[in-house]
Amino acid sequence: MATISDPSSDDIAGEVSIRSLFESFRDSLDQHYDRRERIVKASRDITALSKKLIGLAHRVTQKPLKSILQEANEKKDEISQLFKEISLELQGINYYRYHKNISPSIQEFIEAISFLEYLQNDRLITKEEVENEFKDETGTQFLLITDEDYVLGLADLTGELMRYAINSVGKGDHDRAIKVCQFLRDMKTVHPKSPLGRKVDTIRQSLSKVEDACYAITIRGSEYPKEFYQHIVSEHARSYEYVEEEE
Amino acid sequence: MSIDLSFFNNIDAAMEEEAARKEEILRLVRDFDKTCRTITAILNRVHSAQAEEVPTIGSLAMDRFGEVKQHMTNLAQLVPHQQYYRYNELWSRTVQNSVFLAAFAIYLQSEKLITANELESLLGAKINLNNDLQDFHISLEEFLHSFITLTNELSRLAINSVTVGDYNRPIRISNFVQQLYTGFQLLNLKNDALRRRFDGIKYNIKKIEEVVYDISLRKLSDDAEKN
Repeated sequence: MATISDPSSDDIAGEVSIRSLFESFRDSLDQHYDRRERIVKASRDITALSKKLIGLAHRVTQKPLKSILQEANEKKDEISQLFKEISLELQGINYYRYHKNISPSIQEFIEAISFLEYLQNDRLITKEEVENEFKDETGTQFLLITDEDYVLGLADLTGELMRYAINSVGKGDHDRAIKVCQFLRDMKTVHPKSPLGRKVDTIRQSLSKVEDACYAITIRGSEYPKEFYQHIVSEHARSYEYVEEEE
Repeated sequence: MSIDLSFFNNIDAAMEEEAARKEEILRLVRDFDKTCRTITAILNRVHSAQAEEVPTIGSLAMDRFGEVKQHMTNLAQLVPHQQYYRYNELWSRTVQNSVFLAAFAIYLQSEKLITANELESLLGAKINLNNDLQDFHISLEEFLHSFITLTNELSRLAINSVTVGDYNRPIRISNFVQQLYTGFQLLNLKNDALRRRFDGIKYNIKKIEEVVYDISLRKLSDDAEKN
């Protein structure tokens, strides 16, 4: 350091004012980093719970829907509670400040509830219905849902529908698979192209996998005994699941 | 069809509106950048200026901040209440640059670090010192980033002032940058852009110290003569 001469009193004053400026920064920065960490943690927890919820919904090919929905509601309440707690950190200007930190969990949750809604009512959940999940007892919405969150959540839904269709084929429920296929076609039609192009690709892939499966059961269904091609299709389904895990 | 189309019919319009707003912001940012380039050109003269001209160059640059203020006001008007961070990325680099230019101009004038008040009045916007502002402002990160840019620019100035024969300035710069570095060490930085750039300050310090070393060795500064 250049301490060639004694620092003048001016220098010391400068040093003190720089120090106090940075000390005032420190608290604000700490506050920001701590808050971001809490949000990231909540987001991770919610994503994990939502994935469990999706896994539960997929068991619909093995268990009655009614018992699944009952269990799903409990899980949903648990997730809602987490959203409600973390929403306190996302008030006002902080919503967009930390949106990228919370958004993955919102999308995952939308994926889960839209899948449940499809299983239950054969229809696409509306944005309004999604928003209803983010309302407290008094009907006040505690967390804003952006159009992007909704649309991206639905893009992920198509992946679940694809798995569901393939699983249904595996269980011998061809009508179900063809119904899902038609639903995916409808989704592809309405889904906005820009600026979410990369996700539209997910929809296209999911749809073409289901279309292939529907094709296979239709054309081979007439040739092989039922049990035989059920085996083929479930093998097929398993290979798709590997691909998904790799992603 | 088991899909409610009303949302999807509206979403394209909503996205176009959003794209239009972004385009408008970017247009302002381009104008803002032009002003910043003009100020940069003024400040660049300092690298070949005699010692006594330096404060004047700082003042000349300061005179242009009326334009910067206007750009900040224009930007502020385009940002909806509480949506600052939705668009912040579009102008953050430019604002950061203008904060740096202000800090550099003030340093050349007075050899002091710009204060929060000085910056606020030069740019006509508040700094988010307490995480409590809900509308357009200068973020703390932008403020801090500009200090790091300042240490970089000062390491250049340390070298160039030797070339024009001002052997005392590098020693003063060295003191100042050390103080800034000490200030940064008071912060608990996380692993992000600020942290990475902070790690770069030490290279600027090293460069300045080498200059100071060369000057001391040859007893070129007034201070050295005194000793």
